[in-house]
Amino acid sequence: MKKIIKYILSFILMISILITALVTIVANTVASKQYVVGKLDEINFYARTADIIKDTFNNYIMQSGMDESVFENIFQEDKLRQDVNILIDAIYENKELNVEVDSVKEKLTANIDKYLEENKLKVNNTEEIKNFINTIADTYKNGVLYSGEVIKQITPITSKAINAIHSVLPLMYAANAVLVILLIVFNWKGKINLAKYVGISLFAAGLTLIIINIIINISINFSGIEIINAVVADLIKTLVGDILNFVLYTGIAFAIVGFICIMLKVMSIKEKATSKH
Amino acid sequence: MLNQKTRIKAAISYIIVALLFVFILLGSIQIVFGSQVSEAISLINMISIDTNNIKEEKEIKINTEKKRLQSYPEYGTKYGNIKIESLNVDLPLYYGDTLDILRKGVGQSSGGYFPGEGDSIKCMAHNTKGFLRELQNIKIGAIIEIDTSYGNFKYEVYNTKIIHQTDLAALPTHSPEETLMLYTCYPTNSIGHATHRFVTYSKLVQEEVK
Repeated sequence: MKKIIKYILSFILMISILITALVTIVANTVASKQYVVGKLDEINFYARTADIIKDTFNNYIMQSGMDESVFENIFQEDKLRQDVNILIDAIYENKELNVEVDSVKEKLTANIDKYLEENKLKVNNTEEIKNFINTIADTYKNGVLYSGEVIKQITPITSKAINAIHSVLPLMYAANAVLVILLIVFNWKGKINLAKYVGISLFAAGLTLIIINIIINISINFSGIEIINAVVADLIKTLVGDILNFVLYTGIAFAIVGFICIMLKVMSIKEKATSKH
Repeated sequence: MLNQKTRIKAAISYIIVALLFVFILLGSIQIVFGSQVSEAISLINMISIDTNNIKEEKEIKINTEKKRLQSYPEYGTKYGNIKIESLNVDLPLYYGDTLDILRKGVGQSSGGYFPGEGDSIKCMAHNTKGFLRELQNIKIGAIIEIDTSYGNFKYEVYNTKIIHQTDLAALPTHSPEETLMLYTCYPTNSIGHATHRFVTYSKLVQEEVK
């Protein structure tokens, strides 16, 4: 009966170690604002997004009666960086999502006035110019936020989820400690057996992580992901790739440590058998 | 020797227990959450393209009895040409009306039908030089030809209108007979974002299925 309880505790410890590992990995990757901001720099997110926004502006130039010169310097990469950070603060900390476009409108208006003067063009309908400026400003905003309304709806949820992940972590460490203490209590007379049960838990948790990594890599074609635009897709591929690598390395580490613990117990069996003789 | 055998047996038994733990856990997850996991994987794979799998282009055919295409072109692909001889217009015709498509040629709205399907066909292009700049000069009776891989269709212009961009009623999704609505921004000399559209309405007068 005692042995069954020990194995049950070992099984629960395995699940607890697994959950702790996965939560730790998520907490230090996608749930970490600093980590994600670092990745944005790594994939040259800001410059590439600026290029995409400028390319989208050009969708409106053909029918506007003007040329691309009106878009010159209407926003700088620094402003884009600031606005993307506003988005990240909203997702991670539920801060206000307020991307300012007045400066974009002002610069665009100045460029248009210059273009009209240089080309001696008269504007019959100022409403059309206003619509154009507003459309370009919206295009900039959507280039940063993708969908402001959707973002506003999900930011309370994402910030709560991220806080929950960081709050759960100490509880998981505590749960692991409690389970180990229980195993110590149940193995008080033969403390070396603790190495066996903890070793089995670690080895099994490690194998599970390795198997999860393999199954996900086989089932999902992450390298082919296309979502929103190429830059966002690259960001997702980078984040997912990092997570899967952490899962694999953690699994290998657990399996090795677990195996060592098991072997410690196995070595002690040899010694006991020798001492009997 | 006996100790070594005992040691090996013990090591194997502990590893088997560990494997059993893995099997029980993953098996339980599969039983309890199997369908949700499969659904999640399918959803993720929907936004993923298989770059190794080169799709063979399906031949588009039309069922002339049912007046429906048997297969449709991929959204964003060129599937024909649109010609207006009287205006010297010959442009590629794409399925889809994104701004990217309109930079390349004439876009066909997915909110309509295809040539030969006996209903409304809505196509649009920019009013710039090399596109539909001259559309507002089209005459009643002019022929607009759509040439596709599955057939050649000729439409005769019977009406033109200037509408506000929000006037969707002027571009109905259904028509009692096959009607081509081809439109562009108006006026052609506008500066900025034009709020009106010049629309031509044409009836099918000749079709030749390939």
